[in-house]
Amino acid sequence: MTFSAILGLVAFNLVLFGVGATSLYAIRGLRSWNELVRLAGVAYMLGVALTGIVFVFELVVGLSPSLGVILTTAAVLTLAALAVGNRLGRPRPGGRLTLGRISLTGATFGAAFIVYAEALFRSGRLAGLYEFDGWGFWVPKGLAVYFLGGLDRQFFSTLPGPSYPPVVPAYEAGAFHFMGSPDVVTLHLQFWFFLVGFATAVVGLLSRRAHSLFLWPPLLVLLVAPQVLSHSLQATGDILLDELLALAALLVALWLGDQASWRLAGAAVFLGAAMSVKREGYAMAACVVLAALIVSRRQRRTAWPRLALCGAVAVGLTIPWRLLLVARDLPGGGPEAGGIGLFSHLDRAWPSLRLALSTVFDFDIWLVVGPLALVAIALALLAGPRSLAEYGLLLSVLSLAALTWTTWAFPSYPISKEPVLNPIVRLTGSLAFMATVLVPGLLAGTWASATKGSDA
Amino acid sequence: VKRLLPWIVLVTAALAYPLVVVAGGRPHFPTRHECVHPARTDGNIEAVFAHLPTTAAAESLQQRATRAGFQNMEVQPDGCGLFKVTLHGIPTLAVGRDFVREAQSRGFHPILEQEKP
Repeated sequence: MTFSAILGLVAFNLVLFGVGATSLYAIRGLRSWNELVRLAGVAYMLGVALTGIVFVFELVVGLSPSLGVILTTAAVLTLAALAVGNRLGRPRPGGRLTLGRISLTGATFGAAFIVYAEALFRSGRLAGLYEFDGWGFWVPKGLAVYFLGGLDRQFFSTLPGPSYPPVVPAYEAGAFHFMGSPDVVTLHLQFWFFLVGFATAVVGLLSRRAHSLFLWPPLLVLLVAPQVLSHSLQATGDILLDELLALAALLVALWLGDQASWRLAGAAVFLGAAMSVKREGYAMAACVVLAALIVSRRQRRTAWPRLALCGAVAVGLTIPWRLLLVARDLPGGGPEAGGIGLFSHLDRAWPSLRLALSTVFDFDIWLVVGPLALVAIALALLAGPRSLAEYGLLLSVLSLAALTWTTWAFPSYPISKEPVLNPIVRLTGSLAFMATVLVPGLLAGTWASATKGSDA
Repeated sequence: VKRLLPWIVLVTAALAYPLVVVAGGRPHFPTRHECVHPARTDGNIEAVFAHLPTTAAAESLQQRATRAGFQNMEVQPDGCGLFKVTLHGIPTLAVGRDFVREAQSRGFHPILEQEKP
């Protein structure tokens, strides 16, 4: 643990931001430098998602994310994004960076977030590698990529989770290269960058749509939830998966409102990256797309082909890894009970649903994230933006079904919240994150409808 | 001023926390020496002959100590990336000091450390 290791990580993440910023320019354009600052979190997370997907492609064909490969990859992605943006005539940031106007309420919440992030950084810079999955296989895989220069056939087939795509190990190896050594302590700060990137992305996307009072409290409640505090910096794929899924779900929600095509392009990248982090990503990504398909049924002629394309692109981005699994004769990571095995274990259905529900609403795990989302959806259904409320409800119901399935389809998992016995606590993170990022829009929309009604 | 006030709040918060933390001293990075806890009280004492960077070096020292008559020496990770060559089970500081004197007479320089759980 040295300052140079931290500086190395900063450099690594600046590279990711550079890739993401130019990618954002390519898919939507950036009208001003202030707009780039507002969407800096989105740009960074887009860079994380895109670069992660490319890392997997490179590992599949035998290229390891060494310092040279990472810099070359970033340069190629950046130049390609600039060329695409130029070709499509995207607006370029112009003018000077100015001090934007923010409310005192927003600044107060923002200040709370900054202190939170600083405190989390402080705890992360000396965090030990204690999480079982972290030292059990996520970090060993990263170390294998770093030391052995790729996906060692024997090592990756014998460790737990051989079907998990190597986005997180690739990031860990990349971080080791930029830090100058396989520093598994400082490595925790890489996950700090992911969390801060996620939070600033949500704020950037919603700051013009929701008042600070609707935007910040739900986000801060999520960030201080025990599960996030204890796991957000752990060197595993769980929270990164939640962050990517939540950003995809938010972009799809915003797309349902304004049909801006860049949002679906971004969502496709985030969904593809989520599916490249953990196998659960497939089920949750399907929930996002399915919920959007149902909500957009009235505009199916225009909306469905785009949503189908978004889903297809996201799945397509994971095909190289699936091909490698087949080529190496590795398990695909399907359910333990098999295709129709659920019917042999019907007695597990209700306990599995009850476990999923009680975990999402467990105060000691997620504080009031679940009830808050439920209230926001109910209020919006009664007097707010109906399509967003329907989307939130469908996404929650479908995600709960998927969470139920994860326990039901794996008969070896006992009905328990004990992390070493059943991963349900970690899995509910996807729903908690996705539901939270929808709350500001739901509340702001309901408030707007209510005040408009009373004005009239 | 009204326009600047929110920014002042943000910058103040951003600076206040690190300043308060740094007021208690510069950021401190642990070193490998912090895995060494000199023995100060009786109980849970071990005589550590050395903290070495490789198992090979540690095992070589262990063999040399065994040949010199020190039985039950063990090689263990010290929790800070090094390997210690150690003898557990020393009951008191007095017994430990006798042991150190004897080891020094045979060319070794063990240090009495308090075993931490």
